[in-house]
Amino acid sequence: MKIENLRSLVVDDTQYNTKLNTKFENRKKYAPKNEKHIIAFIPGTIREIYVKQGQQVSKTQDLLVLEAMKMRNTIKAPFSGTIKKIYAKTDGTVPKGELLLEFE
Amino acid sequence: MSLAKKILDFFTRKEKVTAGGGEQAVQKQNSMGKMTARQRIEAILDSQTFHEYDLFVEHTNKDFGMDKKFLPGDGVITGTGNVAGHPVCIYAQDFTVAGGSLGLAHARKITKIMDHAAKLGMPLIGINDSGGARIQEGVNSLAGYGEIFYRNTKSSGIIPQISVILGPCAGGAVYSPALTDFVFVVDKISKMFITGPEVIKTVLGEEISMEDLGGARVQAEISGNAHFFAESEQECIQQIKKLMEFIPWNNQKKADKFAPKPPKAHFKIEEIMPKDPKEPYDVRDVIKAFVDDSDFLEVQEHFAANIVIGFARMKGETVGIVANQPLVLAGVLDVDSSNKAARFIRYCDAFNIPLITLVDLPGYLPGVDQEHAGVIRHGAKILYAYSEASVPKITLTLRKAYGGGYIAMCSRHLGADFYFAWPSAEIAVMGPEGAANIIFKKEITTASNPDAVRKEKVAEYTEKFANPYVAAANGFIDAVISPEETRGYLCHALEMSANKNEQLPNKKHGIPPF
Repeated sequence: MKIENLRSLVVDDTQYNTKLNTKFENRKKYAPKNEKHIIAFIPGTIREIYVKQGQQVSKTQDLLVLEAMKMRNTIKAPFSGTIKKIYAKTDGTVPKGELLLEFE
Repeated sequence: MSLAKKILDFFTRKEKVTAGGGEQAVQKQNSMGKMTARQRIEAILDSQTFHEYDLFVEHTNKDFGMDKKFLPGDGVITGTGNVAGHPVCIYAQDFTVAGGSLGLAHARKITKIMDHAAKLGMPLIGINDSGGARIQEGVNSLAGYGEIFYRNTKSSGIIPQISVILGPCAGGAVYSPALTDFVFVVDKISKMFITGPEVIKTVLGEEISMEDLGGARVQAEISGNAHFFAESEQECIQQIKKLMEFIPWNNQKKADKFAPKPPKAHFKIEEIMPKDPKEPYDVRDVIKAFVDDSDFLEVQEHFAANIVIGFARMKGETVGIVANQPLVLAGVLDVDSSNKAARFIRYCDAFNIPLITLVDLPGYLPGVDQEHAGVIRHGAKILYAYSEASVPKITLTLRKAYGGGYIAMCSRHLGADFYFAWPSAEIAVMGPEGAANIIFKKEITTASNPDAVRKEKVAEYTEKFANPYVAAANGFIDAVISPEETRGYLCHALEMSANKNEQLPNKKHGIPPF
């Protein structure tokens, strides 16, 4: 009996012909964390943006407020540096993992 | 009042309550392809066997004008009856009455029938069709849910508990089904979630439809919360009846014995497996080739399809089958398939159902997502469940049994009572390619023609180790058998282990990697 829609899956250097399930096909590819990216740790709404593009900020300075689950989360600068670009928009909703702001 | 009048009065009262939410509400329910609570109970039970209790229970809520509201049966029907001649306790939430919402009196009717089931040792079938907590009753409805969850847990492993989701089942209500043994869903009718689309949208800004969030397909395929998926309520009811025939009525009993039937002739066991060990086949064809009447009731068919679980009969007696499925993801173990198999193994163990395990897997699924999702602790569940199980455990290796996968799939080392292997079995630490690349790394990389040397070394390893005989030489296998001998050996092994009685040291309970 001929089985259709086969794909290959490698386990321990051996290539198997098999079907893949939707979960496997939709899995997120791992990307190492970029320290210069500030990402939304929870889905929510951007309520305040305190900084501007090109601005020098010092460590722990307030960057923006991400409201989620009825809590206002102030996101602070993890280190001192310059804001390269702001992707977040005030009152914009963001999914989890969305890039909000980038350091130089 | 004369007795005749009293009887007449009784019939009037009864009629008022059994009408549920009234003609209009019933019509609306039926127009959605849904039966009413009463119709559902009658469809599941043997004809004329339903006996209803607590028909005249009423709520006592006085807040928000509820004292003026009459809710027939408080929105739930409870009683006892028979399925295939065996007694069961059953309840069905009535969506036509206040949306089947759960208040304290409603919950107390459910907990009363649950206590009945536990005390009298019979299965409990719960039909869920409810908008959720009756908000007017406040914390009283929460109390009701809690008392149901407590009984679900206390009865777990003593009586079979079956949840049928035939409507919405949202918020706290979902945890009763989650605590029960088998959850049935119907396409486009069942909806389960903790927080609905509206809350998700307002709080998190994510938009999703009810169907995509927690519809029957999602529960059957993605979340794994559901065990049986049906296209219609009628099909769902047939599935329930079929399952009930495979399982025992409580943990002190064995499932009903049926007349033995040979497998159907068109499943030819020796012709299913392809020659190339890297090519797939449907392991369910192998199962159907050796079980009675080729009748296999698959559980969680659509979830983690890389492992197959379900019930069948061997010489008329129920067995639980766990099998790697080479057709999907090459049959690897991963987070989902480990969870799926481990829970099923524990079910079978709790209810005296012998386990037959079919092995053909390359190992655990590699990947960052798997490691980060906790494949270590989830994978450990399958080891725990097999080691813990004291029912007869019979294993047959069809083809690959590599590495950790070999150990996990009910190896002799985890207490298999009988371990058989087909001549096509490859019981080894890993596949020939991987093993050759490690063992002969130096020879391969320093060779003038690495590919040729690798090929040669792979062939050498395959010849030496990709077979059942190394494991057989160590006594890890009881017998190498030809595919044609499968049914004979498995039936014999079941017969020999019928009186298995493993005494465990007294303990409250183990601590499985939940």
